[in-house]
Amino acid sequence: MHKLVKQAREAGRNLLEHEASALLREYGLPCVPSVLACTVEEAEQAAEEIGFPVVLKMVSPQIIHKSEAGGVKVNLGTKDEVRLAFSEIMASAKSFNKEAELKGVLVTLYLPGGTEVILGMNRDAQFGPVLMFGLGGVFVEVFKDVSFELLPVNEEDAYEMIEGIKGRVILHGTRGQKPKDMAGIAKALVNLSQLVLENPEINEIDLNPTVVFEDKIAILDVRILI
Amino acid sequence: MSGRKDLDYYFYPESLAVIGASTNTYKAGYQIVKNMLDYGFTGKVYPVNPKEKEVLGLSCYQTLNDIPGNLDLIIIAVPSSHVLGVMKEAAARGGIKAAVVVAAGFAETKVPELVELEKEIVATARQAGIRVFGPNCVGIQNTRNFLDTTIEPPVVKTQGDISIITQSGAMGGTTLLFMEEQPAPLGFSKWAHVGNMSDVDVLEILEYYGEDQDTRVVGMYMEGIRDGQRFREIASKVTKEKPVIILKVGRSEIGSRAAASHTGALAGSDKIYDAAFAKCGVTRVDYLEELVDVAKGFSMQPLPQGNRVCILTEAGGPGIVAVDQLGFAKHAELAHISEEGRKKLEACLPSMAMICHPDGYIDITAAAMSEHHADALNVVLDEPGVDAVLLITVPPTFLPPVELAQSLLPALKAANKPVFVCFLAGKWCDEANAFLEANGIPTFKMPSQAVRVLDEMMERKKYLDKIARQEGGAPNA
Repeated sequence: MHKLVKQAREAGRNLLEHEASALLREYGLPCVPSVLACTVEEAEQAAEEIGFPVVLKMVSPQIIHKSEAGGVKVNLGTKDEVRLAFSEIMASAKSFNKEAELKGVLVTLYLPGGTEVILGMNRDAQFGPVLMFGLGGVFVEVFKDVSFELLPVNEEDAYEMIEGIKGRVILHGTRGQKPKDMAGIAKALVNLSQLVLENPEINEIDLNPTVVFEDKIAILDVRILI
Repeated sequence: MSGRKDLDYYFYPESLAVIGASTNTYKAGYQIVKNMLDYGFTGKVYPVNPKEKEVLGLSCYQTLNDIPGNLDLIIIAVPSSHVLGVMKEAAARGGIKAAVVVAAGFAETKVPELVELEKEIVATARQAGIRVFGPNCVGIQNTRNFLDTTIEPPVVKTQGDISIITQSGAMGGTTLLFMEEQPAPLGFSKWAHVGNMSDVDVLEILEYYGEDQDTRVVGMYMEGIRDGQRFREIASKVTKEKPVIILKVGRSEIGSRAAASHTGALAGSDKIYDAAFAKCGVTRVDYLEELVDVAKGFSMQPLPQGNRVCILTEAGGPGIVAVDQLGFAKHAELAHISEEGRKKLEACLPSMAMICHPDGYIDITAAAMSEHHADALNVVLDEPGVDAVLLITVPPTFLPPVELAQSLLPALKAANKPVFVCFLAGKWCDEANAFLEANGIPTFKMPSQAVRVLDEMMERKKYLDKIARQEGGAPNA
């Protein structure tokens, strides 16, 4: 069990987003650069270090769905915009849940474009951990166009998962677009499998959204529940 | 006999007793004894019933204790309220290895007292070294020693290499009826229904079939299992040796609730079952007819070495139906015919034959006589770009189907690639289809079914290749 998982478990909570990102990076999963900022000054400084534009996301153990709580501000191009976003996030967090403990905000790189995909893990009562892969947005929500694979997932399995969705043609490149970085997705699935095998206390993982470009993939948002 | 496995006492008992044996033809206890006698079970049969002197010419024993010598298997065909008493008697007698409990009315009712009663029956049995099939089950059939403990609808029990496991006696019996009504009755090796699975479950039987020399193909009707990890271990082990075809119901949510209430097993998400089956190399089918078709393909033909199918047809329409179905296949696609192969086909076929439009699709036309069929089949079987052949013909009045089948047989038998045959159709071709199947060549009612079966065989080949690569020490395995 990884020390971050152990820590969170002992504290009786899930992994905070910056912890989850750190854990994923250790397993070679490409989370966008992020820094936890507890004050507005720290947020500004983090934004300069990461480079504009950035995203600010609320960090609170009690709030899992940040967007619903008004806790996500994207495409912030200047320090002024960061400052304003910080105070707005703090205010909406308080109005969303008075009891919520606010650890600060997570400052991450804003990466526009790319194709949204979802990588995830759930535990099935019968068969144990199962990885899930699909295209983001309407593809997963409306068409349920996802593929599942039992662990362990090796490279060949990972490619089968990618080819197992109908939307694969989008990743292969349609209408004159170049193919997306499918090797990157496959590697991420294999690494995710390894992470889950080595940390059986993790119950659920959501890497949503993850964006895929021609030459790389980037995980923009992370949720790890234990 | 030492070194026998627990389930050997079910499938190969040297002696068995039917408790509740009866002269009343409406009772299971009569039918089971009758089965054994009619079918010619090779072991000893002891009817037990204190109220009967003789059943079907066999002297009836008052109690289990009165039976002399070894007794491997008991079939308990008494009402549910009497089962515990019989099991206690069996435990006290000693030496009994296996029991089939026929009566329903136990854990499947979810009535707490009946759930408890079932547990007590199993505990009593296990303490005395007796394994339990059921309750709520009909038991076993084995065509090798002419054993039939069931009250299933009668079929002609043709010996074959397909073995069946079922979580429903009715679906299991229907499977055998469907197998029997193939052009040449499709034989089976073993058959088992385990009911409530209070002790022996479908996985233990699957493992047993995996090791059984007389089983080359396993077919299963499944409603649900209790231990996914154990399923994975056993199914992965067995599929390395032989195909395992599963009709798993509960595709829809409502169906999955119905299944849960029937066997009391955990239903689980169907998509995850799909993933689990794929991971273990299990062949999943959606309908009973498909289970029989796929079992027939695996049983009669070698695995295709690749996914390229040549469609050789004497009629356009059915040929197009076959090509169309290929478009929906997971793996199968049209084969490639070499330049040399095309020239050979041109030389041996009627001039109006349409060769490779598209590539791999050959319409030999209704002008084709027996020798045209056979010559073209030999040419495409020799092609390196062909992994399997689907031969379709609608014999016209001037070409008697049996004659055609006879002239095709040498090429079909010599083929080291799978060849599936569709003689269309019905009564006109019954005799030809029966002749082909009796000679080990599978026939199908329509080309679309044949394509579906080939596709499943190709999936298995792909799975076995993957396992071989991974076990060959590939990184990341």
